[in-house]
Amino acid sequence: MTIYIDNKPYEAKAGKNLLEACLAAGINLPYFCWHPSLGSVGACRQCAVKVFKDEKDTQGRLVMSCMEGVRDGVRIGVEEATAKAFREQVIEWMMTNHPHDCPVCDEGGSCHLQDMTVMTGHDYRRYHYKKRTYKNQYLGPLINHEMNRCIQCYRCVRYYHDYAGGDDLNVFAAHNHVYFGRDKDGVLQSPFSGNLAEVCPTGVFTDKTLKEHYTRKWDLTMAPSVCTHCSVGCNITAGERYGKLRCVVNRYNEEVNGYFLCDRGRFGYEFVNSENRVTQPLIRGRMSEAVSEEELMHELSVLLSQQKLVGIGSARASLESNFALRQLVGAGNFYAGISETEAYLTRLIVQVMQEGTLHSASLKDIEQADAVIVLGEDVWNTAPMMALAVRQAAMKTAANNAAAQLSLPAWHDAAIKELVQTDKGFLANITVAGSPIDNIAQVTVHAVPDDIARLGFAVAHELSNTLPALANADEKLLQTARQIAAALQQSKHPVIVSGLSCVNSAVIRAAFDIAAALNNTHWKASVAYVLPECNSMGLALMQAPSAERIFDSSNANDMTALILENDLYRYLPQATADAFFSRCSNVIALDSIHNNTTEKAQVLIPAATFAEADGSMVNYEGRTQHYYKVFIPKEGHIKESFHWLNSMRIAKNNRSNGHGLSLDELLHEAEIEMPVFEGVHDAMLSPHYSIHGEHIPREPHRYSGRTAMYANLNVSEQKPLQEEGESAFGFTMEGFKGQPPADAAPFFWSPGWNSGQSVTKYQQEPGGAFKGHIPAVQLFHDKVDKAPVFFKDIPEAFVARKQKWLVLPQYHVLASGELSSYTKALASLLPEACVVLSETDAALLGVRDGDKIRVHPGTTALPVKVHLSLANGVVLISAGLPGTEVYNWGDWVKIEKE
Amino acid sequence: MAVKLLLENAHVEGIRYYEAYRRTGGYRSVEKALKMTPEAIVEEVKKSGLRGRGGAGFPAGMKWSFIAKPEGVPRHLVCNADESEPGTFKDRYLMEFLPHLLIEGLIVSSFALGSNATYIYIRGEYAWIPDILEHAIDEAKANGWLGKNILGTGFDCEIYVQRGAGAYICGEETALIESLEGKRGNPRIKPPFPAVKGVWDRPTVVNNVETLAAVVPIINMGGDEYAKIGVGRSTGTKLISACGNINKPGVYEIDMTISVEEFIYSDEYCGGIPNGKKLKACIPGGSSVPILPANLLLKTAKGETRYMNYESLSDGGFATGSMMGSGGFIVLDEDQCVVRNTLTLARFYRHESCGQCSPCREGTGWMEKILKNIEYGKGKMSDIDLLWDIQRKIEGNTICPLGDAAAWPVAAAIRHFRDEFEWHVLNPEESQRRNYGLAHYADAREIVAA
Amino acid sequence: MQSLTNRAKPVDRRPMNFMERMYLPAVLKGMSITFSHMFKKAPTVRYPDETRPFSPVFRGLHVLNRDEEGRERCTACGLCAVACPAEAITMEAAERKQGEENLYREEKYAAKYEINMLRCIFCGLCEEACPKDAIYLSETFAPSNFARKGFIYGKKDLLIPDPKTEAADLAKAKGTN
Repeated sequence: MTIYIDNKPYEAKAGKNLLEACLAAGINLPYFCWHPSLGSVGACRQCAVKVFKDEKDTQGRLVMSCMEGVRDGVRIGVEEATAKAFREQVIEWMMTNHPHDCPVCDEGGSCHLQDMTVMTGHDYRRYHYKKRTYKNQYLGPLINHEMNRCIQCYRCVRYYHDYAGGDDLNVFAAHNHVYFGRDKDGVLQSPFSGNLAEVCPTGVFTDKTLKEHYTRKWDLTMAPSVCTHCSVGCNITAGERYGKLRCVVNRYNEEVNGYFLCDRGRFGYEFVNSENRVTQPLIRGRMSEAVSEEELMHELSVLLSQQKLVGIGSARASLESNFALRQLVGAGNFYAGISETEAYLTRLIVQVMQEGTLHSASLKDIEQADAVIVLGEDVWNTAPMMALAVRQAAMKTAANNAAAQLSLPAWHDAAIKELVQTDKGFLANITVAGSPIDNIAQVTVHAVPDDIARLGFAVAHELSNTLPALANADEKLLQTARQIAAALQQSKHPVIVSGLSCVNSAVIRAAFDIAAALNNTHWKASVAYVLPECNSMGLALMQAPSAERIFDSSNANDMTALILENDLYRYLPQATADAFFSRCSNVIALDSIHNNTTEKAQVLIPAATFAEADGSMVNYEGRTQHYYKVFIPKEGHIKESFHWLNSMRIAKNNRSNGHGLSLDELLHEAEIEMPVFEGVHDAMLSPHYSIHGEHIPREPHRYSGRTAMYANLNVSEQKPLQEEGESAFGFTMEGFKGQPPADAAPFFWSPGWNSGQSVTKYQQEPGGAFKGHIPAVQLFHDKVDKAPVFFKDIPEAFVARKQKWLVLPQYHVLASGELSSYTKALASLLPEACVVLSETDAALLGVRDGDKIRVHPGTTALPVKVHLSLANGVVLISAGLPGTEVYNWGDWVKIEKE
Repeated sequence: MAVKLLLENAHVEGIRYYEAYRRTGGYRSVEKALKMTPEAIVEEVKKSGLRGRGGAGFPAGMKWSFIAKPEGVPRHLVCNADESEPGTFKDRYLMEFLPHLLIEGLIVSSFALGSNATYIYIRGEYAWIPDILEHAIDEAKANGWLGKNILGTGFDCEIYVQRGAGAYICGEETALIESLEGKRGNPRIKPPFPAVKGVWDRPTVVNNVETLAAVVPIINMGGDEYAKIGVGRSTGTKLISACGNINKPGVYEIDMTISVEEFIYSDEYCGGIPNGKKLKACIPGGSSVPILPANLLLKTAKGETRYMNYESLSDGGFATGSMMGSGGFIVLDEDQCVVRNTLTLARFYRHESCGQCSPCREGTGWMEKILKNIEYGKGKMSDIDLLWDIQRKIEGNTICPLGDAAAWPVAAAIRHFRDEFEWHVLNPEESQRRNYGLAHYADAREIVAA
Repeated sequence: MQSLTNRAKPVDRRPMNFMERMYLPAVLKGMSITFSHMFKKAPTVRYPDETRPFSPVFRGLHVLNRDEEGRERCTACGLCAVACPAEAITMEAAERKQGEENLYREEKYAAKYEINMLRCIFCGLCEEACPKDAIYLSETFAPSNFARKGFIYGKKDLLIPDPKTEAADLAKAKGTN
């Protein structure tokens, strides 16, 4: 439909509000309380415009554009004098108590309030009275609180409380003294608290980790990157200055993370700056262990000529690095650095997804689902952003139902909230020990993995009676299954979420069966399997056997092992890992951080982290995403693993043609070698890409101090950093000055929009797809016509054993991936490792909360935590925390009282 | 002698208690109403022309007929006893002295609306009244007017008293609902209206104490009879709580046919201004309605006599008129300072703003500060224009009407008494010393007579 | 060829006569001008013993200011750096810790503040940009050093003496003692 803004016709989409229409039309209309993800409440009154009845109407009516829907032919005046005056007045009101402390405010330079103030033209202060002041709160090591800067837009509470479901941040007091914070000082409990820094239009909530090494947005060298802390692969923008990674902010991706990140992703970057980094090639046993690259290559060429060369790939290394390793050692000697169980389960998932009979659900699919079943996955802890998406599914379904009831527009958050009250969409959270999303779930079941799988199969049977029914099932289980099946049948886009937390293949199979059974009538269900690491899917697609399979081969002795970015002690029980190392005569490790595995290495090679590297990763849904170098580390020896591996390949094969393979050449080779990766190179901006012959600059045009930054080291101006080979991005502020392609924008900026909200200018409409959006590279292809092959082997009901317990991992939301726990701020929030037992089992063992017990074959005694709804016969052990031991997850263990 | 419907028996000994109340004909309306159909009661109320006595004056019968009646969903009646408007204390009087009248009205109204659980949301500062109400409820219950199967009709009704925590904004019906639900008392966005989704998502009607009490005489005498009292669309009687510089402050029941002049000067009502002082101005309907100078109070701008009813008081719009509002009649004599009076009101509204939308949250605080400066002789001429500018931008641009309520007194004060503001600016020392305003307004009756 | 202006002077190409060939009168004429200057006021000053008065807007070397209590005014907001057309200013911000209130005026300060004086063009935009009255261009100019490195001014080169503890130094620097 057509709307007239200041008498000019624009095309607008029905069902949007006037503010969204104006922003989509590229008109600068200031706003505060509205947010594309949070909707409108009309509280700040900043986006006022005039609405005219017809062409002749000159009076018009002042309305809040965020609270008024788009109507065909509606005439609005944005530049109309009274509307402008009112908007200026609103800013003046906001400014009455704002401290104007921009020089010391972390938000300065990327502040929505600054932008909006300039936009309205407010420049003269008429308020000459004392400003009100508040006391700030301690909100933990991640978020800084500075209440005086608050302009009371309520976004923080609406995000934290309503959107993310946190209940420890709220609004207190009234009138011009409202306070946003906690009831008392304390760490914010939600693992999504970091988004407050971006949601807040000014500097009330800011990134506390950035404060440690504060840098203005305009002084950062930034690049589009991808989070490496879990298998979701949220898009991030990482920024560097002086060779230090300074911060990570959200990079909008409509289909993946939208506007938000979890705290693990946002604050888990600090490991890049860790003192524990491997910065020099090391050869152990020498007088001086740190060696030059020539010495290293010399040593390596000797080692690589050994006969028994095995490569251990990594689930957290890029596709390129894994492939380069595979090429170096040969496909037959390439193993995945994960346990056999994990390898088996991921293979099963790959097999299921490659069938193509089920659609792989993106986070957006999950958010838009009208029924979600979480089958056995502890998504809150293993893929936090997916848990947030699941929450949105439950909330949005209820909102959509309510909106349809009174034909309210979807953006009208305030009205919809009133209607919805406590209604929720259908969510069944079936887990071993429960999770915080239990409290929005209609159905919560806490059961052991086998019983979870049985429930899944029972649901599948209810949905399609061609599938086998459960043998000797109890009525309660069947009743739950019927309830879930009924909800699924009514839904239009259900999503089944499952994964590896249960360490149980039946759960994975059951999840498949439910989804496939739903697709019997028509194709509507999709499925998401959460994996442990950022590139678990990429590694799994390479179909490498697990590291444990090395022992299968009879002459697995005196091996020379090349271990790529992998702490084997994190994936294999200590005994297994020790056994492996005892059989290796030489260990070459490439890693970025010193860990237990690098301790064992004779040769240690410094690998780049995500911030210093280019690479591709495949997320849980089979989406290939590329991340780009943010900076080149000062320690010149740190290079991408694939770079080292290429050099080794040249050294080994002794046929140097002078240079190694470039990134795109490597990807092309991978696509040829492994057709499953066909198209992955499309996920990266070609290194030859340029706009009018110019690079995309990684630095904003306001980047400061170029001639002074390193002048204290060398007065002669440094040559700008240059990548080996070509790249679409430049390391300076020079280059293309316009808007870069949104999918690969190193940072979001638009004239007049310095804050992150400038992303609107890159979108087709607020909260929508990017302009000129490049479709994602999906490695799993939907085959709608193909009939699914159901799994029919249902496990027996779980029976607790005597004196033996089923051991399962309990991950923590801030540390299910390896690297985030190397970040100081996050590490301080990690709990002590513990063993979770059911009440009965604890009584059986005669232990209480806090008593120490030893789980065999583990070596350390851990404190007990009694769980009220945990099934008997299962024991959950903290996993992923620094120093925690690894067990044969899903196996039976003995417990001994300390 | 004026008609008295609500306060007829107010002076009967022991009327606060059931026995005396019943003896004087109390609970007759319940007996009558429970024999009627709920629709018929709504019809009677509609016919009576009863307008909401809380301030907005929305026809009560109309409001009742809007209530949604979805199958199987309970409905609620909420009595808005959060009477917090400065100058208004009629509900307090009703609840304190005639609690059974309110209970009776509530039972009838609950029956008409199908509410089995009815709430009285009472202002927190009325700390002693809930006890009176609860005692009355217990008495009514003991005598079979409340509880299960009332009078054998199968109608169940319980009344609960809920104390507020002292927020003016909770007198706004949606904020009241939020507060009743135990949440922060922020006004809701409408739609959905409370009649569709109110307390706990259920259809809800929120009515003022006086409105619900007025249902009793309506049922007793019939809607048509009730409508005959009063004039035009201002039917029935209205309680006016008169205060300020008058000889006889108190709550008066008027039938809306008397003139303002009569109300102020007649011995039956306010009894004139004490000490022979002159009338300067009056806020006729509670603090949020525009203040009127004496000349415009007694006669409209057209020179017609102004009467104490909805239409006449608002004659002339905001430029030369005011509003009936909630019936808080505040009289200012010649010694009173309008600036000081406005400051007091501005302080009240600043304190009571919920803090949700910017104009009200920031604007009220700013206005208070400017007024304070002017009042204490630190103002500038430009402050008066700034004040005018701020109130103009608040008015009509807020989520709930509190912004308007805060802006109107300031607007009217500047509109009618700008010279007084200017005097404060021009005579800083004197305004600091005297702390009250000009007394140069002639006796209004002289102006009117001239 | 037509001359472009009418200021062309035809050269006198007559052969010189005897007097002219002696050059003496011309020499004397020239010397008279030279010696006449001995009796005029010299336009130069004996720099560096003497300096000329500065214009009030003279832009010399930068100083980082302190407030009356000797606290650093700079909060490392970065506006001078972003305003600098020569990109010659760089800094790193740090948070003031408890107990440092007497050192830094506000909750942030420059842990590192460097100006590359070799690049600086003394335009004064940093001074214009500063919201905290922290950076000023002084009247000092012509810095000298034995190495180019010495022209990278750090905080210790830029900060003015503390008016409380180094009052004498400050007075000296200001030239008011």
